[in-house]
Amino acid sequence: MTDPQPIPALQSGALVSIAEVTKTYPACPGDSGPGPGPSPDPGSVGGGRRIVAVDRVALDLAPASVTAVTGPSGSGKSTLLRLVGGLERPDAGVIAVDTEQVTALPPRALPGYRRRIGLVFERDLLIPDLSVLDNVRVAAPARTRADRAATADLARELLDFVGLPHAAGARPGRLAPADRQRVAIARALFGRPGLLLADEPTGALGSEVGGEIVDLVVRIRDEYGTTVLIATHDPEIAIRCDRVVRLRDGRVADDSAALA
Amino acid sequence: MIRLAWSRLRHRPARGLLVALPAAALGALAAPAALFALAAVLYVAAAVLLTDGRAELRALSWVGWPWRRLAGAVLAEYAMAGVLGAAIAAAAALLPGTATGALAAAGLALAAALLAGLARAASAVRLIPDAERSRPA
Repeated sequence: MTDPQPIPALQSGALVSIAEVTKTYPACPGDSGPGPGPSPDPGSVGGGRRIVAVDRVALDLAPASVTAVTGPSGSGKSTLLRLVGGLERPDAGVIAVDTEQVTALPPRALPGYRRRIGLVFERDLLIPDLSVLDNVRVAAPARTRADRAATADLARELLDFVGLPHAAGARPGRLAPADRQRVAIARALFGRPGLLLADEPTGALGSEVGGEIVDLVVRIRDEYGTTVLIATHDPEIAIRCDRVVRLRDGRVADDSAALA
Repeated sequence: MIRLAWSRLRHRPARGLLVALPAAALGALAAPAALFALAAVLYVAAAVLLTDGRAELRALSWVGWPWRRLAGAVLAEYAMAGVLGAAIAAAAALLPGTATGALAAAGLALAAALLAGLARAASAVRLIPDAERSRPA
């Protein structure tokens, strides 16, 4: 029932390479509108239409950088993050994180990959019945008393880092939304990831507390040297990132790195 | 895994009691065999209805729990609920004239919980990300 393979954490900012990645989904029945980049899929059987969510996207992310992926709803931001995060597989293209080719990993290797990176979502997705401390260390298998002590120590250290040193014993439901998102960030940092993916991390928060979350993300880059990829539709957040990539209809429309 | 299962039961005592009570009540009353069957059905229905945690399991899957660990957590939770139900039903054996029925209900409660847990654990595979259900292209 436990995962027998210990997972080494990435130690420094990861170099991320996204090469000509395409992802399509079957079109819903009756969907005849333009949608986010619809196009006939020449490879589909019976002429079934497919929606192109990500279309031949190519990006290289520098280690220890913060990149914002922006664009309107349906432009492919979240899909791109899900592909890099190993939650979905692309139809074509290659994604590599450091020397690891994510798109070639077999299914059973993907949970381990996701424990090596950090994932933050718009909703905090905390487990309400676990304490904040247990939520932070929930991804780590701990089989011995020494393991449990070590994971508790690291979880406390991360709660301190995100500004919640006194919340360890609380239930997530007792915390403010911004604090729950801080706990989710601490959980994402548990494996000392070289890559942090954040999908609209401030989407459910007000602008002021959203700014505090961005401050935290920048501090993660500065103190841990983590490479960060954020999907956001908020220009106030994007402007604070090292690089801004704008997607439209699943394609890269603008890239601030190309303009520099 | 065990910690998660125990926390879910511990912090929702009403759920634990509700899954245990049908077996206990019917165990105390039971003489006709049909009541045992009814107890099992009620038990399974209560367990299924009251222990839904799909959102939590999906979140755990996203942060790196493999399918077998998800399934183990589900099974552990049902097993604990089953032991609780069996204990309450067995306690009814102390009442006069209920020993046979109560003990049978206790066994039934445990067996039904484990069967329901196995079914739910197997269904946890639907909660894992799409990428884990397909091979690399």
